[in-house]
Amino acid sequence: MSFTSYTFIAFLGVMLLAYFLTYGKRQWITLLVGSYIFYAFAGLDCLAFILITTLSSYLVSRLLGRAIGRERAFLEANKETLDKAQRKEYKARSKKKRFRILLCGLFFNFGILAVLKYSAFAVRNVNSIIGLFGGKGFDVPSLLLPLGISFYTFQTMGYLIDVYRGKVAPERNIAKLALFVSFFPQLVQGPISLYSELAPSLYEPHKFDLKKFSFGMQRVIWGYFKKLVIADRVLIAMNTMLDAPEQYGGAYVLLLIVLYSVQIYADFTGGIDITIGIAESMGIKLAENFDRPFSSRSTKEYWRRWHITMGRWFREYIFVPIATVKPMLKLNNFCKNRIGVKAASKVVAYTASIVTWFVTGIWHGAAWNFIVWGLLNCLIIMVSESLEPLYKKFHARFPKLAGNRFYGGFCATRTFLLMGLIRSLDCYRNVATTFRMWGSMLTFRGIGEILGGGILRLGLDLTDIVIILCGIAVMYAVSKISAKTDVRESLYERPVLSAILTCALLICVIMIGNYGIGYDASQFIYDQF
Amino acid sequence: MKKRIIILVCSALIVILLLGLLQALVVPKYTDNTEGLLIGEYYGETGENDVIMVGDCEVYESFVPAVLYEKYGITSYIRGSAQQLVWQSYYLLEETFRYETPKAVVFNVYALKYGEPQDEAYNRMTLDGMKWSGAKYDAIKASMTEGENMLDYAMPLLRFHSRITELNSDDFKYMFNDKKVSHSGYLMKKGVVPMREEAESGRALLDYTLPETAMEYLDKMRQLCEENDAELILVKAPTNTWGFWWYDEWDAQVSEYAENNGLAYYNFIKCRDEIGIDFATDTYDEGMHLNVYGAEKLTEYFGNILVSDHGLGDATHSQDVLDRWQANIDAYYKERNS
Amino acid sequence: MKIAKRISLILAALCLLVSLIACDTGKGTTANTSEDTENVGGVSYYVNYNGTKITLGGAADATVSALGTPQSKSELGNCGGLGSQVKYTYSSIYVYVLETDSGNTIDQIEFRDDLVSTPEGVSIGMSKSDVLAKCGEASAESATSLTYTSGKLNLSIGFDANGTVNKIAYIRDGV
Repeated sequence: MSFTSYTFIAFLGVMLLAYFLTYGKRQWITLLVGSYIFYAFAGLDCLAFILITTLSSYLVSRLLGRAIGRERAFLEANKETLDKAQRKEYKARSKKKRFRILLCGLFFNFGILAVLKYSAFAVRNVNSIIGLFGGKGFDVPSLLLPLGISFYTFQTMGYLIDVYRGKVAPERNIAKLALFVSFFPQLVQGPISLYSELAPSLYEPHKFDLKKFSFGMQRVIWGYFKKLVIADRVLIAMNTMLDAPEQYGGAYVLLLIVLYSVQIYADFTGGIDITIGIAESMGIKLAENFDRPFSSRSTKEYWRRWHITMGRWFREYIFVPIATVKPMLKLNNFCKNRIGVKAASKVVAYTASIVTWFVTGIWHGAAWNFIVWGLLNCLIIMVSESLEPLYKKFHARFPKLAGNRFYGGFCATRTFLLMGLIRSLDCYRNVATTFRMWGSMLTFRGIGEILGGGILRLGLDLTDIVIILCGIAVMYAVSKISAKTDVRESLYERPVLSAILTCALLICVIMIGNYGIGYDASQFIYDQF
Repeated sequence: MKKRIIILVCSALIVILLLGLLQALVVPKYTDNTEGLLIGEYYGETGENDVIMVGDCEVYESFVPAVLYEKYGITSYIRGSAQQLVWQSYYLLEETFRYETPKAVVFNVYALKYGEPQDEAYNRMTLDGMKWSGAKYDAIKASMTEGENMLDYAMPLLRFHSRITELNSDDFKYMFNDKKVSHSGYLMKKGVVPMREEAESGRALLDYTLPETAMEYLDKMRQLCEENDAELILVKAPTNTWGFWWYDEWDAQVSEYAENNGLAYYNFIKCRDEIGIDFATDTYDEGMHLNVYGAEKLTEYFGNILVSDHGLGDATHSQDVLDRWQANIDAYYKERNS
Repeated sequence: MKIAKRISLILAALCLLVSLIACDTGKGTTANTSEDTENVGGVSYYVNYNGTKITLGGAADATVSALGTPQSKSELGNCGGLGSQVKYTYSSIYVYVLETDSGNTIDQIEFRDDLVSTPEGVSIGMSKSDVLAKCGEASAESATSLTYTSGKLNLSIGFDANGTVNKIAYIRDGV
């Protein structure tokens, strides 16, 4: 059930009504039932997978909880008799046991994800190697890929790790855990929530609140505007160029990079706006996933502002554990003696970064282009960090630059283009083609053609281009204003203006949105991850 | 809070009103493909008819109600549209029986070749013109192709919203009133583009059995006519080109059905000479459809059959009916001779 | 260890369940989905006519130009929403071409007389037993026809009351 389908809009209407009508202690059950109905639309076999993840995570978290409970009880009971060393030894032993339990849960669930999402990719690569020696290779499996499996698996595994770390208590009610795993607005494309921040708001009752409801609906409409009016319109031109990449080299590649940046921003942030807006209208608070990423002055900053919850997940549950795992500490000690403390810490950080970005890449899709995309991001961040002392010297020499608007604009444009360039790997879906197209940019061919009307031969007419430009201007304005103040909060004080703007936005979505027969019903990009 | 609720309600009402106006603006006005206006024109007519004709282009391009009345005193109306599928004809007929009680229903059988929904654009031409009723709902349900949905029919704005960027003066001119294009459902074509060569046959088919669904709807149509005391008459227009061929095998199946159910079936392909059709002068598109001259010949021929074999045409009409039909005839000849 | 064993057992059971559910979606990439035109089940889906190979479902432009000027060319109007179809009439065959945005395709080939035959040697005027001897068992058989099918491609051979071939047509499904 796509967010842009009529079925979803009807479902949402019924869901909201049912949610507020069942206000009370068991209101969350309505959400659970709704979430499972939503998921059932993706197929009953998909439902089985989410149930299995829920069930296995429940069991593992309960066992982890019991192990923590026993540990605490034992330490409490033997407070007097155990000395510090014995306590430490007991804790270490106990932690080892817990770790084994956690590993079972992680292997099982990530195993499902790996088999379903990556087995075809693995077999294809094995076949390529076998093919080099003239072998025939294996049949490529074609397995079911349940909707949002990457998102719900990561979110649930985050919960398990938090239970293992003792950060959250294991959920006693399996149905409540099932809701955390399957909460319908965020099931498809995130944000990836932490149990500690989502659960309380998810399970507590929420009365209908006109302010929250209208704020939520405003955000939903804003999300649809970005998705249907801008993203899906830009997609038409992109698809024309991607259908015959060799025909659209040179300046067209730069155009594609810019268009894709606009498209993915409008698509993904639009989807997240719908998600957060739906939750907000029910009184549930979800984590923000974006913070004006295109105004970032560096790659590192960009990744703090783009897909924030994913970055947080990888930092918390991949980067930190890898950087602090025993072999890494050994590596650190090994390097310390040879290349110094500073360099040693960099070796560890870079190794952990490479692994994290590799996983980030492959999380986005089982293809080499995603892996290369991840590693290139890593490379840029590492190079930037290595050059940090140089930057510092430069800024010390030109102190006024830091506050200069033009210099800020230059840095933001540079980051935007650099990120866009790497992101185009995702467009062409083929590493060799992407590199070839990057190379073709150096020829500068096509500039005259684009300016001479070539842009109107990409499937968009002048009206479409005007709509896109106006849409971008509106997005930019909203983003600028929201950096200083909460737009909806300020509009709340002026209800008539707020109503006019909301109605205008809604009419824009209905009238100039790209939907229905005649348009390619394009799924949200992040549905596939 | 009260103020906010009032603003909310007012906003909702204004949005609904605006969307209503925008919908009237963006729905196609069919000023070029005038076939799209045929179904809707029926509701502007007054008075009952002796005969209702249903079917696809072969009915609204082949029979002229004005001539049928002028020559035989038979009042008639054509509820036909481009590629009108059998079930669409059935539901249109079901709806028509709510408005009037015709003595005979004429169904052109060519559409029996289709057993499945075909094309959204043609669906729209037929279905958008219908007034909302259970019959329209059922007709839409039976006709939707993949990707179509009921909501797009209930709110055509959702389907045609993208036309907002391609509006022309006709969209404003006919925003609330459609252009009148037909003469009691007959769409006049005066051009002459002769048939270049007579086709020997149509494309070979793998299976010559008429689709089960189509035959089921034909049977439902027969039952509906029986329930409403109307005689169902089956006809096949005299046109027969390779792309729209009426196969002998199909003809045999329809003949058998008609015989088994005591219905009259006239295949006019077999009596072209008797009718006097000349595809050098009586077609506007190389033989695919009749032009007004061919249609007049066929109507005269068929009118004679309706009078002699089906007892129609003996009714004495009120002054109202006489006046109305005289106006129809005048309008028809005015356009024909212009 | 007890706990780990218990978890292992439970997870093993869930693994089994997963393996049962993660069934193949039926889109195996090794399956041949292309429209085979040659020698499928003993029948070929092309015709050699005046030295030109006309392949059912194949690209039409080069074939039509190789066939030379037809006796007549007739285009189908848009009535009926069938799309753009063109009928080329040659002395012994009809060739139907479907024209779409993605290219023009040979959509149907019909024999007009006994001067042309299928690659198996079947022509109008032969007996049913000759056809069966040359082409083997048909995919479908009725009182008046034999149909050989491979995917969307069909060869339909029609017979008159005496069992003599009176119609030979190569037909693509779904058009």
